[in-house]
Amino acid sequence: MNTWRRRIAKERQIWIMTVPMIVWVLVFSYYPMYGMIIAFQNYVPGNSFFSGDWVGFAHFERFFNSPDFGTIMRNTFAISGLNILFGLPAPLILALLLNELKNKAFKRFTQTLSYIPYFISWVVVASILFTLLGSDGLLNKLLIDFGFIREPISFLGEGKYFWSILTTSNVWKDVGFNSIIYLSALASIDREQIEAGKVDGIGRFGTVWHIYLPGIRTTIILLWILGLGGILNAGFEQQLLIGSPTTAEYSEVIDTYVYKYGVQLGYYSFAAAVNLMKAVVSVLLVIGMNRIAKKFFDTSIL
Amino acid sequence: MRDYLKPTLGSRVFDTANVVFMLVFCALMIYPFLNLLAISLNDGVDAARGGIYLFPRKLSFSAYELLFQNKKMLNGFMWSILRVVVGTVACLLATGLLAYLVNIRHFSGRKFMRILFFITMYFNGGFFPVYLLIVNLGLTNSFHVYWLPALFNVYFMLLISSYIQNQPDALFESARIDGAGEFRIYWKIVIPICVPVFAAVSVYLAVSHWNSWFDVVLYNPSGKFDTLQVYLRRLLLEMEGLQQIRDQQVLYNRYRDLSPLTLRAATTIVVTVPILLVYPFVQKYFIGGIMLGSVKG
Amino acid sequence: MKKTSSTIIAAALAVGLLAGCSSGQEEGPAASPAQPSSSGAESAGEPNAFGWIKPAQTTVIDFYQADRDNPDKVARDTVRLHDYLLNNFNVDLKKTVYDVDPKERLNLMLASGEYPEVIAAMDDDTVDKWKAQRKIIDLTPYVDQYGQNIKKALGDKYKTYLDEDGKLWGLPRGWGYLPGPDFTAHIRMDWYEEMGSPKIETPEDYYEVLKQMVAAHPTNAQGEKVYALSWNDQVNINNVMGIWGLKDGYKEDADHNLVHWLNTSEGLEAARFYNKIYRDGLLDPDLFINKFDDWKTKFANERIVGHIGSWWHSWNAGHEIWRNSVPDYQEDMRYVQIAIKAAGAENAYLSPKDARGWNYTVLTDKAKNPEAIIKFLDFTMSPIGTRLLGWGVPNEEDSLWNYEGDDKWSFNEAQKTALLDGTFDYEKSDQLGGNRFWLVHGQGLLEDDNKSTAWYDQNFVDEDKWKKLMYDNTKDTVYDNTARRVVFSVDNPYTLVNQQIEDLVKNGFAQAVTRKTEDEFVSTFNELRDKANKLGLQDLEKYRTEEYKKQLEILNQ
Repeated sequence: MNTWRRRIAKERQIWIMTVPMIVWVLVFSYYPMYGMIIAFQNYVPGNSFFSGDWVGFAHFERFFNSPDFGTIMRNTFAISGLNILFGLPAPLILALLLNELKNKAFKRFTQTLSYIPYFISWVVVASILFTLLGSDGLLNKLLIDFGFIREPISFLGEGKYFWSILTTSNVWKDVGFNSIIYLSALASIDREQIEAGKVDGIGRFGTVWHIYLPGIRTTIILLWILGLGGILNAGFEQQLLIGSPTTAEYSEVIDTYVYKYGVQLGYYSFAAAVNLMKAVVSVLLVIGMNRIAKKFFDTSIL
Repeated sequence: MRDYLKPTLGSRVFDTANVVFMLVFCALMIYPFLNLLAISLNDGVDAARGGIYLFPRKLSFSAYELLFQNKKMLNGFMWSILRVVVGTVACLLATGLLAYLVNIRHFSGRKFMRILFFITMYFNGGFFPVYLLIVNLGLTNSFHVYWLPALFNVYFMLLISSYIQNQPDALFESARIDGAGEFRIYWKIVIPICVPVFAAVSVYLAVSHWNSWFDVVLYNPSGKFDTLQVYLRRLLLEMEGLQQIRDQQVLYNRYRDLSPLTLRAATTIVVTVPILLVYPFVQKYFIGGIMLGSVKG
Repeated sequence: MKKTSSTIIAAALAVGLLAGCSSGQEEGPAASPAQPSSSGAESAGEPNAFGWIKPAQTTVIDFYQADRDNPDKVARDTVRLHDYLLNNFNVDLKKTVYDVDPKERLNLMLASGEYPEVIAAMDDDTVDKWKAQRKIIDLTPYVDQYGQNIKKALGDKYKTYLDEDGKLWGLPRGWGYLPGPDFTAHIRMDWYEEMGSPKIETPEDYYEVLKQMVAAHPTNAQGEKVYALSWNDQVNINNVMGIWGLKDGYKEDADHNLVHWLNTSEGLEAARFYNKIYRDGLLDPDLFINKFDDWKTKFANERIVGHIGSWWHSWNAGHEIWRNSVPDYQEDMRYVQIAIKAAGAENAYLSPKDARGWNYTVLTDKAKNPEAIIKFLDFTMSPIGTRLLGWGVPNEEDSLWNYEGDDKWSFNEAQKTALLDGTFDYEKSDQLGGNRFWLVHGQGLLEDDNKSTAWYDQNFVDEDKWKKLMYDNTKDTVYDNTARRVVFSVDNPYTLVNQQIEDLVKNGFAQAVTRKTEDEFVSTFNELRDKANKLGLQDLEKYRTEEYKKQLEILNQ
């Protein structure tokens, strides 16, 4: 009891600093959480959150029993999986390559250009894709001129190309932006260590493998765990803009479905139920991945 | 030059390949921007015929003239800057402090605080309760709505925290033994050694504040605090409202009234260029090692 | 020192929080309260030229219009008419729009209780919701007292807007029957004349002409391939089906039973028509990928010789661009509307008209002086009031019309000539405010002359040779579709089924049309039909039939 009190006394100034933080998080994050209960009701905006008629897990059931459930889950996992497979390592590789550039001015120039696509809205990306990949787009012209194909391929009109086009655009758009954090982490590595490695003659690849990667290990693990946790977020705007009736079977994902069958039709409770399900899955995934990271890499993000 | 610094053949081949790769990469990254620039500098009617890639076909500055006639743009620019500065600084300092506190080894509440914030990353009350909260706090039609609800960011807390974890604990311990308070340690030691990650996070924060528009139109219906991004979205989303309309005469009028492609492109350019300049400015903080040495010494 | 600094940071954050609250409260919500003018306090002053007696106290109508629109443009286009109305009517009409989803905005208003006195453009479903929560008021007492023009304009139809208790919750906007064609087949005029204007009666004739036209112009000036037909995200399958005698996608028998096109032979034929063109390589292969802008680029580059869809598409993407960009532009370089009808069809039903209006204007429970508001709304439903709100500020040099008083009015000849010559400056005349305040007036022909309409540019059908040609060619394809209205609200059990089938059909039609052989096409079509029936298409047909018969009964009473 006494030690405990002594401990609190010792930590008093830390606790004082946390008070406004706790107040903030209670007000802005925890207080509004009462809204989650509409997932178990038929909520009509304007009605009280506590007077709605309770329907239990009906909205969850509706989602699991919807006729397109299989397709939606397949697309969500495929698109998200591809994003994770290519989108997580790409910025790291870019950061490592940028790090190897000798000319500082060129490095800066490349770095700055690399994050431009992040600012280009999906509307613009979709129209550029159309001019590049349409039936008389640049790619088809090139393929025909070089004799690879005779008839133009409808890259945007056939479902089988949709996932690759989406993944490529996602990576292209975010790779530079997401590499910033790796670049900053690389900057934290002690110069002395790098010099020492050079003396030992481990070579450039060795430096990357033995010094850089371990040096930014915590950042990599953190970002990848959080990335995996978002596996049910497969995007939204890009599907709506790049997808078309002929590719719908490959472009419908959870978020587009919830938007169409929840928000647009006024079924807010349905949207809330699916979001709640997504949150639970994410948290379980992150906690699980964190356990694994703790066991194998001795790193915990929590 | 000593032996170990002499580049091997393989190393030189790699360097060349890397530069070539980066040049191709740059071309891919900048193309849409150049494309937009070319469209924005083209004549409006002519641009509707498409086929503009890197150079305008019929040079015209009318889109920019039209754009700068809008006096509200300057106002929007000022609010954008203010929002980026206040929002970024406030969130960075607050989140940084939180990240440091949850990393103090002898702090008994560190797990509690981490979990408390971590949960909010995934669970939220949804659209209506948050809106009602903002309304009830009286934050609508006020500048505070831009920074206060975004004061702490869990994602960046975890990022900064992972960075601090990598630093030797002895750094903070020695300061504590010297009798420094935690806030002083944060201010004098943590911030200086965390400059690279703070720089990176500040880029992310600045970009997200600059790009925000939904909270602006949602919580600021009076339009008094409209940011630059709102004007861009307004043009890009003009088409969106037309999906619901069935009456063809209404559609004819609305489509005729749409802002030309060239104006949309010019606005994108004008709204994007200022934020692009942020990144080169913070890049110098990505050179590490120096600060750490000075603190240690 | 260390204690102080940590206390300071804690205090600073707390103060920040409080400051946020207090300053927000000072500024408060931007709702500008209308100065209440009690209904009895009006001066019985002289009526103005429009027969309007200015109220002693300004009538403030500060309304939110639930359309997604650009607030900057709305502000630009309403200022002149606003000032005119304030000076001449003592009515302060202010329109607010937001560029966010209006349904969302309305729900937020409902949830937070912050909404204005008047809301325009509310749909049936939303009106029901607001009514159930008692946030909007019954207008019957006010309309009974002050709504002579409203009742006269709506005539027999007035009672169809009342609910089962005889109460009126909203006044319709854009109601009435404007007999103009919306959707039809188009053909490139100068090339058609070049071919000697062969006769076109059926879809097959149409395709034959398009085929020959493509043969004569296989590529455009840039050497790009030319197609017979294309499609964009604005084209609706149901409209296309009209050529085969279906009404808005459904076949109707003598007893008003409705069958969806998927379950009819006409639907199969219609889809086959498109598939045939696709297989012949004459249909734009990107037809279902084209957004309107992509399609517009192709059309403007003279790569599509025909069009089945809305008339304004061919204007917006055709001669309205060419007029200003083609050096030696000739006026017959444009598209004209032609009527085609499948051999077996009794008629081509291309343009369904819902005369009930698009949506409603409501008064909320915050309206302090409903009498005054209804009085003004009533004025705008009179023929001259509709003209004023439809055509904007009169009697100025750039006005579209002049008004002398006593219901005597005339069009401004200079502007009219410009419109007919194609030199009309739309952007400038938009600032006169015409149709920018659309609260309750109609779009049909006005009762006093049975000729003019609130849409300024639809007033000169007889004088504009292209419009006349369009009307003459296609007048038989326009039909009243009001009774077919169905509201798919949240508590309607068919809402989900309807949405699922709509999605399925949209995607399935695209799949079927782009099949490479006829056999594949037929099997895809059959698969689509079976899938739709499995989802409940036949129940939906039954439901729609029931609703249709109910509405017919109400309308024919």
